[in-house]
Order: sequence, then structure tokens, then C-alpha cells
Amino acid sequence: MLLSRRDYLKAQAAAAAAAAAGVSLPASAGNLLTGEGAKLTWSKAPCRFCGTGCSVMVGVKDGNVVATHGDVKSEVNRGLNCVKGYFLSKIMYGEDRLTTPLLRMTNGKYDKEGEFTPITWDHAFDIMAEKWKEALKKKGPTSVGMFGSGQWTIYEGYAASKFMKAGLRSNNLDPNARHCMASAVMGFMRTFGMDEPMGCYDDMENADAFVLWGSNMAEMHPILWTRITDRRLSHPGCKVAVLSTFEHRSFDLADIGMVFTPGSDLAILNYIANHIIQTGKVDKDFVAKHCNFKRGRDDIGYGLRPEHPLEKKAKNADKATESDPISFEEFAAFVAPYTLDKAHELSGVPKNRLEALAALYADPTVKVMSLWTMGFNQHVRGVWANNLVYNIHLLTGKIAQPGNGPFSLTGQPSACGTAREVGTFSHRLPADMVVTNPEHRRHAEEIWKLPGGTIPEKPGYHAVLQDRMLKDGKLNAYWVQCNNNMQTAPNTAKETFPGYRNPENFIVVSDPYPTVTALAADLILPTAMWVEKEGGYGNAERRTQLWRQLVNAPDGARSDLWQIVEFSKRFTVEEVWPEELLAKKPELRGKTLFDVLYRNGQVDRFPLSDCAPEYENFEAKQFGFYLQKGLFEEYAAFGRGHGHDLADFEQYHVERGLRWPVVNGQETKWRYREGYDPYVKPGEGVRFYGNKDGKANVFALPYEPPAESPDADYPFWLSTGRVIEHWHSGSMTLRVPELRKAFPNAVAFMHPDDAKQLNVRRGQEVRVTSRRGEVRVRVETRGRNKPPRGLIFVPFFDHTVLINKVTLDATDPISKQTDYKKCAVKITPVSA
Amino acid sequence: MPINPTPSPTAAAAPVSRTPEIHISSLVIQHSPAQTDAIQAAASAIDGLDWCVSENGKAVVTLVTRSAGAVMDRIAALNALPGVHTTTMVYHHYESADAIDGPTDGPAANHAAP
Repeated sequence: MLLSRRDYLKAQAAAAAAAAAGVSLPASAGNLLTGEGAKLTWSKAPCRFCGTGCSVMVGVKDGNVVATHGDVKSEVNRGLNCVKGYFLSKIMYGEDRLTTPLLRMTNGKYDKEGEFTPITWDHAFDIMAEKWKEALKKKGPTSVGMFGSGQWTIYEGYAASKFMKAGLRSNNLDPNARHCMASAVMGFMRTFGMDEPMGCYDDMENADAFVLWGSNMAEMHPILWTRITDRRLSHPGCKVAVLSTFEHRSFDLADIGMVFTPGSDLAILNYIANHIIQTGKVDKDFVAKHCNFKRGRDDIGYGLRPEHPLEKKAKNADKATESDPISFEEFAAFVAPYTLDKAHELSGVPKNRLEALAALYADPTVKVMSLWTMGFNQHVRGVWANNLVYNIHLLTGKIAQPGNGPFSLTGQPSACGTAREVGTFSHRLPADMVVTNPEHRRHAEEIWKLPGGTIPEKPGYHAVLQDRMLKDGKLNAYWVQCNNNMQTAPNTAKETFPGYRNPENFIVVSDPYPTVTALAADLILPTAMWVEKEGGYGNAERRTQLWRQLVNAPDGARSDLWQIVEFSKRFTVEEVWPEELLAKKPELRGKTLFDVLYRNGQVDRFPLSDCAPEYENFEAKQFGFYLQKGLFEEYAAFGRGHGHDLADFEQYHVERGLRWPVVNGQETKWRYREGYDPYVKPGEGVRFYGNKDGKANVFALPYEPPAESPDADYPFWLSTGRVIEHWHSGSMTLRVPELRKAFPNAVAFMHPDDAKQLNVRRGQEVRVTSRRGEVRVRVETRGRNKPPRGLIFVPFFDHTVLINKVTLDATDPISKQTDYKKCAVKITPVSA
Repeated sequence: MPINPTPSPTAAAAPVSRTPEIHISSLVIQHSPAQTDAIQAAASAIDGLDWCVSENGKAVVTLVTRSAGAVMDRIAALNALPGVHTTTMVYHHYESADAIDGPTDGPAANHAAP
């Protein structure tokens, strides 16, 4: 029977979906094809968006990306695509794509108050070099800085780290992942001595219960949510608990839904620990073998400016990271006051729900997967929250085994692969090493073939501090790449914008589009995106995925990688290193940073002939060697043999990614567990080898209130976050017409009774005002998010509702990560 | 050429006089098994939607629409149905409306995938 083309394609579509869903169609649908006779070439790439790390097949025709669909061969998403992934083909083709460097000028000269004027790349690097050298000469390496990204490729992060820490000898490199995963990182380091989850997504097909601690996976990790939904629907007795400060889409699937008072998550966690102990459900054997107990410092302040009264009042603001060893009995006594009554009183959650939740953890036969993202991390006690959720998994031994364990979800596509693993933080080096440790610095200097003492030992400015130092005039030459911090930094009008416009400072922003950050800068550099360059990301489950350049960037746009490496040519070592350093390696005299960092015999050791012949590689051709492979293999030297093993570069272009540590070609699904993790020897069972004694640390930490709670003058909580249609600040997704139409402007989700009391109707504009600033926004009382009374939720994707003018720049004092979920506002109707 | 001082991620204007297109997509809908019949009835009433199969809370549907935006609208409509947990895309193909009703060609030659 001859099918019409339409029917044939429909059958194809149905077959693809059935295969992805694992159901059988009633009638045979014929051959399943991935190409549709439209003469496209298809190649794999990880999605540009969230930390889930789906793989997509990208269809290229006539030099443009014209289609994408979920990669059926990917273990992550198995052919599925969420709505943002669906429109990946359009994000590079917004009408206002930047194609030339733009410098503020008047009468042909740089003028900070001038108009953006097109210039050449040469001219752009001229002025950048001038400004950087001026700052270095005047105030030294602490006066230059870089704000990078968890959406940088691995190569970009590694090149930037070398450029800043080894080249310019400045630790003022921090990523926007500081706003997203820093608390998770410090939580891992304090408990396990090593970063990143011990489990993987396979836990979702093995768990008996899922607990979402503040995360809204239905919108923020939708493909992972389909896997959890699958498990919930197919595994008898499976339970889902969802906790948040407001009701959202993930509650649809919840058996136990809990809306809690902001900040009281800490108390709920301690209550569960107490419950486990009181009901005799501690896995005593596991605890004795694998756990230490520690009392962390409390009263640690809120990361505000030192002169703030809350900081002056805090007893231990400067000792926030310290702790003392205690016994299990002392720990039990510490959590004993966190009774059911106390948890109920602080959180407002009905007692029976708290008990049901505790029961999931306490019952030794229930395999529990805990999942969290920004609810825990963007929290003034975010590190504590991470430590406390590890506590309840450690007390019960429910960790590092299929279906059983805490899973820190990642927001950005490569906060893991780039920011954390490469170490593009103000205090870090690759492979979990830190600048403060002399052994670590020495090791990095050895791999990088640098004179001893090159890498500075004092941590640099972290994200929020960078903004403060720009404002205060201490940071003077600043390069922003691959983020939109003017829109996403807290208290931005007061603490971010002034620094960019401070006449003492020269601000460079690299972006594909004219974001608010770019438009606040002095020099804008047009940037290549996603598959316009060869790249690599690492997702939440430690899966490193590489991709090829599939199309060219618009004429004039260049990748962040090209920009960093090209700029390094503008510096000789004499201009940036002191004589003492040069004297140690006189063979480097007269060389440029490009020579020392990238033409060092390692990064440049793979010839152009190693590049994949069917694909373009702009950066490699520009520099004359296979730059990405060289950077990767030099970087991999840090981790191989140390628990961070990466496979060979070429292997990642064959596989749909591999989860590290990859040893003898085998990826690791569960770390720290014998039989799964090659670093755990036979007979050891479990070993938390990130810590010297092989044990994990259970931390005694109390409930402490948020930095700013509602009061008589500012009676509402403000929480901020995302919606599924938009990625972060909307710089990409707002330029896709379908996504923009689906959710064009931010709204304030509000309880209808609050609206009524404010005398405001649905759709009406209100002013949301804090002690710091104000925005106007329309009210939504019947939306997907249903806040309790006294709380509103406003997404941050909309630059016309710049909600970060209102937020507070309080951070977790340990992680320096901003709390975007809790501050106090008042709401007044905008008169008609 | 100087940049507009205010950023304007443009809602790109609908393309002018493009040939009409047909979009063919498939979706996987996860839903409460108890409400399968009600969801099937409501979904089948959506313009362009064919309900292919449902098994224990997982349904496969195809969509034929004139634009990608219309796919978005239908996904929103499906998500709004009581008992629907998730709606996810799998497959999307589009071409000009005249080509699509011609006879089927054989398996396509070009679908390289490393």
C-alpha cells in the first residue's frame, strides 16, 4: 500500500515516539529513520540549556541549523526533548545577533559615555590590552577580573583559568555558577572532601521514593521528570514527596506535597535526622565504619558588606568554615530539640506530612532519592542545607547505591564540566584543588610548566564581591563572558550597575546578543554560540559530552575560546610577571602569554590533521593546531589517577558522553561503592576517598533565620526563579518567537486572596518594592505557580521586569552564593 | 551602526509571504492511568491530533499543524488537562504544504549521525 508522504511521516513520528516511550504501536509503522529526505546532515550535540544534559541530533542544511530532535541513542533523554530543546535550532538566528566589536566612542576615541561604534577585532584587543596593562601597572593583578560561566565549554573554562591564574596571576576569576552551584560544591567538599554526586540518573529507575527539596523538576529538569514520572507510574508503592515554599507543577505528581515557610527547610532536615535517631533507624554499622561527626560554626552572618549591622552582629562571620569533631551522642543531643512539634511550628507543614516524609527516610526498606537545586543552593544557609540532607542519607546508609542516595541537580549545562571540574572559581584549580594549598599550586605549576610561585595563593573576588569591588573602584579591568549578570546579579541597580559605569573601570562583555549587560559595558565583543564552535560540557551526573562545530558563526562573531587565546598574544611575560619569577625560568623571557600558556608543547601538540575532516574547526585553523584537543588532554592530566579520570578525547566524539571517573574505558555510575567505583578496593565496601580517612562528615548545624524576613513595612516574601519556556535571563529563548509568545513577560504569581486584599485584579500591574529597589509587574492569580498567602514568585527572564533590582545581595557566608529565594517586599497597585 | 540603547530581543516578525508549511510532530504524554479515557477523549478533540496508543499512563500522539507555534499551543492545552503529568516532544519534521501530500519517497539517504 502506497502511503501519502504525510501519512508516511506521521507513521515515522509515531514510531519515534513509541520507541522513546517504550510502548508498542498497534500497527507496524515501517522503518524508523532519523533523516527525513530533506537532505540534512545530522550530528549529535548536548543541548545548550539545563544541567540535565540531554543529547540532541542537530540537522544542518546549507550551513544553517534547521532542525533538532532528541537523540534516541542518549541514555539521558532517549529521544525526548523538552520545549526549550525543541527550539534549539532557532536560538542562533535572532535578528539582533552581534557581528562586530562595539566600543563606546566620541569623535573616533574611546569615551565611556560615548555611543557604541563598530571597530575591528584588532582595535578591540588594542584597547583591551591598554586598559589591562594600565590596571596591572597601577594596582597589580587584583585589579583585573573575569566573570565566566557554567555555560562556557570545558575548553573555554580551562583556557580562561590558565590565562587568569597563570598568565595574569590573578584569582579574580569566578563563574556565574557561583550564583547556582557554589553551595552544592561546598556541601560536597565539607561532607565528602570531593565534589559532585556519587550517584547518577540511573538512580531514577531504581528508587522507591523521590523527595524534591525545593526543586521544581517538572519545569526545570523536565526530561528527568519524565523518568521519575515513569518510575512513579510503573513501580508499585513508589512515592513522590515535593517540598517548596509555594505549590508548583511538580506537585501534580506528589503523594506528599508540602509548602513550608521559607528557611525552615533546615529545621525539617534536622527533624528527620532526629526522627531517624529516636526511632532507632540509624544504620549503626554504616555510621561506625564510614562517618565522622562534626559541630559546624553557627551565627555566621549573611555575606553582606562588612559594615552591615547583621554582619557586625554575627559572632562567627570570619570563622564560617570551621568545625570541631564531636561524637555521635553529641550529635544526637544536638538534633534532639528538632521535634515534630518544632518542625511543624517553624515550617507550618501539617504534622502528618512531616511524619510521612520522615518515614520514607527512616524505613530501611525504602530506597530514597533526594533531589534539589536552587531551593537549597541559593540560600543563606545553602551549604548547611546540603550538609544536612547528606546527614540523613549517611545516618541510614542510603547512599552510593542504585536508587538510594542524595542527588544534587545542576542548573547550568556545564557548571559541573566546566566551572567546577576545571575550577574556574576565585579559590579553585582543576580537579577539586584549591589555590590556598601550596601542594596544589605546585602541582598545577608543574603540569603547566610554570616557575614555582606563579599562581597566587590568596583567593580572588567571588561574584558578589567582584560587583562590590567594581563599585568601590578596586577592580578596574573586567571581562564578562557568557552570562548576563547585570540582569541576574542580586540588588543589581545598587551593587552591579554602578561598578560597570564607574569611570575608573573598563568593562568588556562578550555575548551573541545585546543583553542589558552588554549595553552597560564599554566594549562589546560578538560571540559564537553552541554548535558554531567545537565544544564540550559536563552534566549533573558527571557525564562529559563533546561536540563538533556544525555551522559557522555569523561573519565577525568569534568564540569565547578564540577571544581568550587571541588576547593572550598581547602580553609578554615581562609585562605581567615579576623578575623573580622570570629568573626561575629564563627560557620564557621575551615570550608572550600565548607562547607560555598555549604553545607550551602540550596544548599545541596535536596537529590540524587530527581534526575531524568532515567538520569545520575555526579556532584550530586560526591558531594552527588542534587547540581543543590539546587543552582537553592537558586538563585531563590533572584528574587521571586522582578520581577525576576522563577518557581519551576522541572517545567522547564517539560515545554519547561518559560518566567520570572513566578507568580502563569503563565509566563509573556509583562512586565510593565497591563494585562500581574502581577506586574502592575489594573488601572496602564503601570508601569516601575524598577525605583522607575515607569517611564522610555528618555535620551538626542549627536552624537560623533568613537574612530578611517580612515585617510590617515589607510584608511579603519574594521568591525568584525560572519558568520552563525560558532559560535564565531570556537572552536566547526570548528571541525564539514561539517561546516568547508562550511566556512573553514576567508576572508576579500571587495568592488570589492576597490580590483581593490588595484590591488588585488578575492581570493588573503592581509595584513590587524592597528596601533596595522596585519593579512594576502584572499579577497572576491562576497560574502554574500557586503561592501561599504572603509570598509572591517572579521569574527573572524578563529584562523589562528586572526583578534583581529588588533582591538582596545576601549570600551563604561559606559558599558566597546569593539567596535569590528570600527577601521582603511590599506590593502596591499601580493606579489605573 | 550604533546600537539601540535599550535591548529589544525582537519577537521576530512572522516571515512575509512564505510558502505554507506543514509540521508533523509526535509527543509522549505521561498521565494518570486512571484517567486514560477522559484524557484520550479530550486530546482527540484537539485539532490535528491523532491518538496512537496508550499503555499504563504513557500515550503517543502525533500532531499535524501549520507552524511550530501551534505545536506549543497544543502542548499547553494537553498539559492543562487534569491527570496529565508531562508532555514531551520526540519528533518534528516540516516541509512545504505542497510537497507533503505527494507520494512517499524511499528511505532518505542523508541522515548521518556519529
